[in-house]
Amino acid sequence: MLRNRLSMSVSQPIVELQSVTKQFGADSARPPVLNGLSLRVQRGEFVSLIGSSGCGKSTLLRLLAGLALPTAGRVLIDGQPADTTPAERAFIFQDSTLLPWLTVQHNAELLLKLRGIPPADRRTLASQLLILARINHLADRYPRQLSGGEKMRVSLARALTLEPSLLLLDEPFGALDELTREHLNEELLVLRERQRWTAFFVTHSVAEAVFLSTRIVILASGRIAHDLPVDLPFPRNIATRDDPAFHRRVAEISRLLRIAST
Amino acid sequence: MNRRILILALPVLTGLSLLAAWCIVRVWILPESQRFLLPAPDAVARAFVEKAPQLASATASTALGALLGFAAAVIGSVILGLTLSLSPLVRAGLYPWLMALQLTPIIVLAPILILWVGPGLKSVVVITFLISFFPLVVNTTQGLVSTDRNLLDLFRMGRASRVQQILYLRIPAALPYFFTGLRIAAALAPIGAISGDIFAGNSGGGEGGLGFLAVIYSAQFQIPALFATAIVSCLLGFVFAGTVIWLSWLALHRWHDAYQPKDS
Repeated sequence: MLRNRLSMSVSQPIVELQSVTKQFGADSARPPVLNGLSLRVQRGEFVSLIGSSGCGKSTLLRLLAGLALPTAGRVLIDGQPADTTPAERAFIFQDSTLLPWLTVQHNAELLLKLRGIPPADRRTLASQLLILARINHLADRYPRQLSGGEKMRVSLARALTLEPSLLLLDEPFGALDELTREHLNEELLVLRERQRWTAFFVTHSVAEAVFLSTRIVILASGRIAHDLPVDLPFPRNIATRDDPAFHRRVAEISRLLRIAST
Repeated sequence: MNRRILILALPVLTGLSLLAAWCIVRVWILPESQRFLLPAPDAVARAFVEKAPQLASATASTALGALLGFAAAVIGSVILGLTLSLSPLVRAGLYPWLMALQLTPIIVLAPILILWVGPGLKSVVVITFLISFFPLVVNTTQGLVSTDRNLLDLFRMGRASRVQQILYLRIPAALPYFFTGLRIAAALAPIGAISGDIFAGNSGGGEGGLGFLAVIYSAQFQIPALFATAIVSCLLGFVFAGTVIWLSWLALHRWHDAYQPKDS
């Protein structure tokens, strides 16, 4: 069984983009947002997408989510088109997208409820994830009573209730203060130890990308400018941030990003 | 704490000042021959007591008409709002006609309506319905189509059915809009019922509402009684608006930002 899954992960990437082009608007006056982009991502990778605004990062996530269709090319998840695959995916937005009229507990149960999972089961499952996200003590609060970081934890817990194989994060920590952001970075990696999802992470912060990722893709004008591994050892934690190797990698990638974006 | 007392006391003070101004105008400014236009407060109070049985039965009749018309408007607007929210084409087809209905003064339609449904309660209910329907349907529809796009994406990612999307997302998200419409409609409903009553009040059985009573008192030149009728109508409006504000608080205060305590 295990060998079976391993061999599958080698033969078939979880994500495969084949010459993907995405153009908004019917005419070709505007340049495409994504322009013939190809990429293969193996199970368990943590891929960060960086690049200047408008480089197509968010569009790429929406294609992977099946929320949008490519104009040309194919977006495959487990070998099937992204808009029809049964592969479980979770999308995490910069805004926590909690329903303001539901308590934290009920927000965490939402996706399970949509799938028709019985109340008792979804309560248990959601509670487990709230505990993992260290937010279970706020289960009876309403979103407006939470801080930005707390809301994002609930959003993460909710996303993980369906045990997604692919996690799509669109600048999830962009609106948070630096300290909260670093905390959540560390906890995201702790959660990843538990559930081995594959992640696509859009961010503007090179440091954040280096800290979290196994691989960083720099996008520029709808193409892949650089595809770089990050081979810092796991587990990564506060010590990683003091590691000279970490700083070297951040500086190097920042330089490449600057060149690619001009 | 002091501030709270002040906030309660100020409206009372304003009221007393207006009452004083009323007395001053009546006694010192109006010539004796015109004093009847502004009856003394105690004359109004006496009219209240004297006409209590008539006022009570008229208030009951108007309240019933207003309540039925309002309830019909709420049910109708929710159904129409849901229909309108389904597609922009449906909205395009119906909105101009809703506007036309709203912009036609009901007063002009009243005689037609009375010919159609007959005088009395039925006409009052129809007129109340027409007056309170528009703000309800507009706000409800606006609420149903203003759902946050990220939340809609979240539901799509969660593979929510259309019914789930409406029940668990669009309807709760529309509640604040709905209650805005409800507050406007609740203030309009008694006005609608009283205006309807002025035209359609049933004189036959002596069961007219406040509008009908106002017509009679005005014909009989009973000015203190007219003031008493105005005060009762105003109180009825407060009951309607107050009830809806309370309902809206019940539904929204736990989660909606408008009810967020200032210190948090």
